[in-house]
Amino acid sequence: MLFFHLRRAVRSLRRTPVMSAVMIVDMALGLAVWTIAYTAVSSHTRDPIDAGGRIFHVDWGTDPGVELRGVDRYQQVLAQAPHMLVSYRDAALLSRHEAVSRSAKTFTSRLAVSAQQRQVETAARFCTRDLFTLFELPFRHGGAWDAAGERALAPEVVLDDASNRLLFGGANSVGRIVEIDGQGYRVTGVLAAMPERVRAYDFALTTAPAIYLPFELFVPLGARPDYLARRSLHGASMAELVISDDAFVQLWVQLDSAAQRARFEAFLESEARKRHGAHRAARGRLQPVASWMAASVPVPSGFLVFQVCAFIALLACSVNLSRLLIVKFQARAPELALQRAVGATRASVFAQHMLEAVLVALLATELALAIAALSLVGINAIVPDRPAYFVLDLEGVWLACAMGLGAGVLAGVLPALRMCQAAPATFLRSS
Amino acid sequence: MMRVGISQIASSMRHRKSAYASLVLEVALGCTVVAYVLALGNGLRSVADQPLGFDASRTFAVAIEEPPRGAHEQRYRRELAEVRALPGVEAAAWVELAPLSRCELPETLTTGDGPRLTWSLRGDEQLPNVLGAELSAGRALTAADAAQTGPIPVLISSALADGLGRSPLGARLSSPGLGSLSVVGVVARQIRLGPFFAGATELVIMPGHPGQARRNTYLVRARPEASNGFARAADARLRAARPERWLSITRLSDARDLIVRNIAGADIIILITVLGMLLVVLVGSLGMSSSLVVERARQIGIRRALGARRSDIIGYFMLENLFATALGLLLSAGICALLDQLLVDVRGPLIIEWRKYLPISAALFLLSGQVAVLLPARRAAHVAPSVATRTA
Repeated sequence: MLFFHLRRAVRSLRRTPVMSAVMIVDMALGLAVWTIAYTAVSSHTRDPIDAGGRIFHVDWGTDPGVELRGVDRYQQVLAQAPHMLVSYRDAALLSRHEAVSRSAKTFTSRLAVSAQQRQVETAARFCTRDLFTLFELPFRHGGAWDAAGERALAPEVVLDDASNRLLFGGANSVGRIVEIDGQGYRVTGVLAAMPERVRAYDFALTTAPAIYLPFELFVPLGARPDYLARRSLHGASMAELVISDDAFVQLWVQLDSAAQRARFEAFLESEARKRHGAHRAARGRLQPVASWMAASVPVPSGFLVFQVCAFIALLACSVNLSRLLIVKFQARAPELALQRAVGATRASVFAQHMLEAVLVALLATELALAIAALSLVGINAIVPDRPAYFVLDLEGVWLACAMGLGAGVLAGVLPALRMCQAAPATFLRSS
Repeated sequence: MMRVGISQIASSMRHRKSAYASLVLEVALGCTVVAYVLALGNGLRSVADQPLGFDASRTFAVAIEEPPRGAHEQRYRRELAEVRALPGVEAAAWVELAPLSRCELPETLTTGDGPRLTWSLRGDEQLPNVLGAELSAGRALTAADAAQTGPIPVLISSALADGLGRSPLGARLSSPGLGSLSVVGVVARQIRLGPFFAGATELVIMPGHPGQARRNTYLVRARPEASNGFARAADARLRAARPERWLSITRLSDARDLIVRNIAGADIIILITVLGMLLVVLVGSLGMSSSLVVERARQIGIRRALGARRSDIIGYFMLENLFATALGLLLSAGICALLDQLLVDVRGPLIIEWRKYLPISAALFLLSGQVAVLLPARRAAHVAPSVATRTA
């Protein structure tokens, strides 16, 4: 029976090509705008890394101590940001706990590097080598520096695709040398090109070409972090920064089992109480990647407001589609009356018309996805200063399909109900 | 012209409740979207255009990077002397983080009235001078202030002074990150670190000298006539002095221009959204009006037979559409007001002046509604009176 109604729906759409095209385009426009708005917002917090929920961000769980109710979301995130970092000593202590399978300490600074007589400014990510494993960063050539090299502070670097293109024209640069302060640093690996996205481990949210260096090298290089949450007064040297309570390190740990997590949380809580006193609420905080990103990446207010407006636009298009379906179905009323007169049930009539609405919605969804995908390319070009490349991912496609289907069903209910409730005699008399 | 009463229109709409209800709803939603996104665009531009409190077109961030060898105080003095000697420099100072760097993190400041969030700017004693920050009270910072370990003498912005609610001079403040502070002066002008930081006018200016670091940043105010060529001239002079170091000279207005380009991009997206909504509602109105003409052919024929002219028929349909659109626009005002309340926590520093744009949106929808109904109305006007005599 489903195929019968489907065939009728297709035939009905073919019979009125202009009307059908108008309905499809109308719905597609609203859905495309919604999809674009959703993609722009979700691109800020989207990260494919999940690792079965075994990777956690660690901080002391403190807060600004200021009432943030009534403050907008962007300001709340900025106010909380200093409390998401830990000091150098705390990062070392926490990462050494026996429950931690792997850990990555990282922060971003800026560094001018040169190669082949060309000097460029890069985002310098000082990190422990496990960062690449934890976040599954794919290598195009080579790999991370080895553990022995990390302990020995060997002058080695990993380039990302952008910095490799700038310095070596995109060639396989493993084994080649980049210079920092006149000293040669051997390239051990080149990361594969990745779409610009907000990276959970990049507190600076920078899209500049990046190089990755062994974590401890920041001291001899004198590279101060881009983000520093002061916690104490201390002298001006790097050595004093390292032993101070100033927080600038992001710490990520891998905890493979629930038991490991429980042990680490207990340790974190006891250390938090030592630092902040037993009377304070701070107990340390472990956050999985996705929820950390949702809590820490500030999505500009403009994007959020636009997303709400896009949803209202989709509703408007759904109402419009409903009206156009009513017009279309009423034009076929005599034919429908004949169907009812020869025995078609109300349910059958309802199903037939709902299916036509859903078919319009599905076709509109296809068109909307194409419009959205193309539009996002244009938007990336006209909005130059953004933290991520706006691109439609699988989750966005599924959500757009669900929204399209939902909007189609919503639009089709009223017209289908009207047609199945109308008495056939009325239309037979008037035809 | 045959008189058309409101009651006739209302009666007609009552007989076709769902059709007109959907038109009213669609106009309401469409008008809401158009008014709100136009207001959003204006809100974004207003925030981006907020004055920073200093002349960004004459202010440059000069970053000098070299290996951190030797005494950092000596390096700072050498570099500062070099920067001050650059052609066209009016004032120069070391700054820890230049405005518009977007790496600022707020500090929690403990005052007599409890904790509050504030922003800080740390640099040497000439930093306020570079920013043109004249004092409305108290004294300027001195070189000796940077060496203080007790309560650190600081300047605060007038916005923060107002927020403290009392005469701020001599006030003792504290912060986990900034330490114990003593207010010695109040800056008259509102200085912002970036256009999108709401409340960024609550600022503490702290004295300091650079620590050991490979990169030092100096904020420079150039003379107006030297601003355009300053970056190139400064780069050439500094490189000639020490070719091995890395330099970056950024005009702060260029950093701001990036934000402005974003807003321009947003304007294009908003324009496309507005046109799209108008098109959707226009097409819907056109379709509905066309079907109404067909449905009411006999009624139109009767009116024609009773003496209605073509212009009366056209006028009737256009008035009916106008009435329905007007109802939709009223509903739209209510939806906008509701949206305003619901989005309080989301819109942040953006001021969405939808009331200013609702009339524009309303005019657009009234016009498009009339355009949409015109063609079907003209078709209706050509319905012959003889149609009234037909039974089918």
